Amino acid sequence: MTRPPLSALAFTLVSLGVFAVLSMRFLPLVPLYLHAGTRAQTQTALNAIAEAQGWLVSDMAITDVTDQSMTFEYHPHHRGGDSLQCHQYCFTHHVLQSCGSSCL
Amino acid sequence: MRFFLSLILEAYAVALASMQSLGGVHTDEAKYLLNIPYPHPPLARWLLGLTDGWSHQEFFWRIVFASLCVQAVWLVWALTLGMPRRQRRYVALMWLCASALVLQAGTVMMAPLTALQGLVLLWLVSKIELKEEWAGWVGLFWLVSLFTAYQAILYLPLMVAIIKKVRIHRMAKFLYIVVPVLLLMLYTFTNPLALAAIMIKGDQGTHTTLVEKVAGFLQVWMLSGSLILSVMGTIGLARSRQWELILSFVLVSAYLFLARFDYNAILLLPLLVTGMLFYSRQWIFQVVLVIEIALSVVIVWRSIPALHPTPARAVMQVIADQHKLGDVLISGSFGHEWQYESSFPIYRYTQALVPHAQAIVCLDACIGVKIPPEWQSLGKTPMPVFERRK
Repeated sequence: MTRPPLSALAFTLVSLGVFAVLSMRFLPLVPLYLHAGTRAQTQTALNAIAEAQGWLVSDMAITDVTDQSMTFEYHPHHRGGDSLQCHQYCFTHHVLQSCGSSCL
Repeated sequence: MRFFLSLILEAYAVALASMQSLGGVHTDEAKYLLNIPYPHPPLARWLLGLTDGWSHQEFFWRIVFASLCVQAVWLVWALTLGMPRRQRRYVALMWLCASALVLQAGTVMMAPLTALQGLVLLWLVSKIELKEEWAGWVGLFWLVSLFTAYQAILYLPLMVAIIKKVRIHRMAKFLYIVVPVLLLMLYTFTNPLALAAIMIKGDQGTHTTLVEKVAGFLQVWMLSGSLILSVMGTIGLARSRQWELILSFVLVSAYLFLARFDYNAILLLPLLVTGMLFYSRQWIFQVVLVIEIALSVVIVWRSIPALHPTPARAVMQVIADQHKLGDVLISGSFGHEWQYESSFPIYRYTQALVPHAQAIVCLDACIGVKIPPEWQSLGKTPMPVFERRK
């Protein structure tokens, strides 16, 4: 049996690596694509938070969505030394809090 | 001789980069330089974003992008292998003098990078034989291209033609082409903002009439090859009877028809230059080159970038000169260039944020903005700007 060329191995490894990273990011977002209600709720909440805090929607990246809450990273972009904050928004109480808190 | 020519080409690249840097950073460029996560995939903008603390970040990348575009003429030279030497020189000069290259080589945009990736694919198409070992590298290059910008998908027919030539198993061919596309789709679903931006852009296109779309496409097509190369290159492609070239041209044209932006003109340029390879009479090359240079001068003169700083740069410079700390609030709609020009966090104006702010910029005549009495107006700015006194 002949050994596969190095380029084929490199392609396979890179593709698998990219797939693994993207899958881990995609799985927590699945409810966003499966439930129209969750999607609408998330969009409304995101816009409301941006409006109230003076944030840009493009500085907010959703990392997790459930029917109870959404988690997002806020990254105010500017030259040098950007900060990264993790927030959680509870759909039930309409509360914006730091990540790790409970919505119950 | 090659080294000397490379130096001359580099001087040309620096001139093109300098021309673009005079006005400052534009909103799309700022998006990439700051690695703001939409609409394009992350690879190139992530690299750019790593350098956002550098004081000369903008100019550095302008020179890198311009150098890549200009030095790509060596690839055009390789593409013309087999033609008479004089004709090869004419084609190389056509690449360097095309209005799309002159106007876009020094911009920090994804379109020039995608065009260069298209040129590499065209070069690979022109190679008669590809060894089995190449297939994986070509697949990786395809993955990199797609993760640089979505528009790389427009060169799919070229990728199919390249992989078809390699003697490997049919399933392997299929995977090299399809896996990168599937990974790009997966990436898109991990970034709802990118998905929303694509949908909004697509929706914007539905408000223009057919006539406006045709006129818009013709303008971008003309811009890509200074009209004469656009015409002759297109005819050349039709004469080539190579399905991969024609199909790629159709796909890029369809994209430009649907989403007309001048900066996408460079996407057609590699195909148009390739179209010139299907002529043989020397006088055609001479005439096309002379007319192209004349028309490029006119087109570039008419669309030369602004030589004065953008409002964002002018205002942020004045704010920085006050040596104060605090956020900058902006009232009204603003682009990412405001974020790029600022070393302080930028927020949309809301009354609640005023206590932490050092300045308020009004882009909408201060509608609904309450300026505290202890604040003062800053003079010499293109729009009203207010700052805290102490």
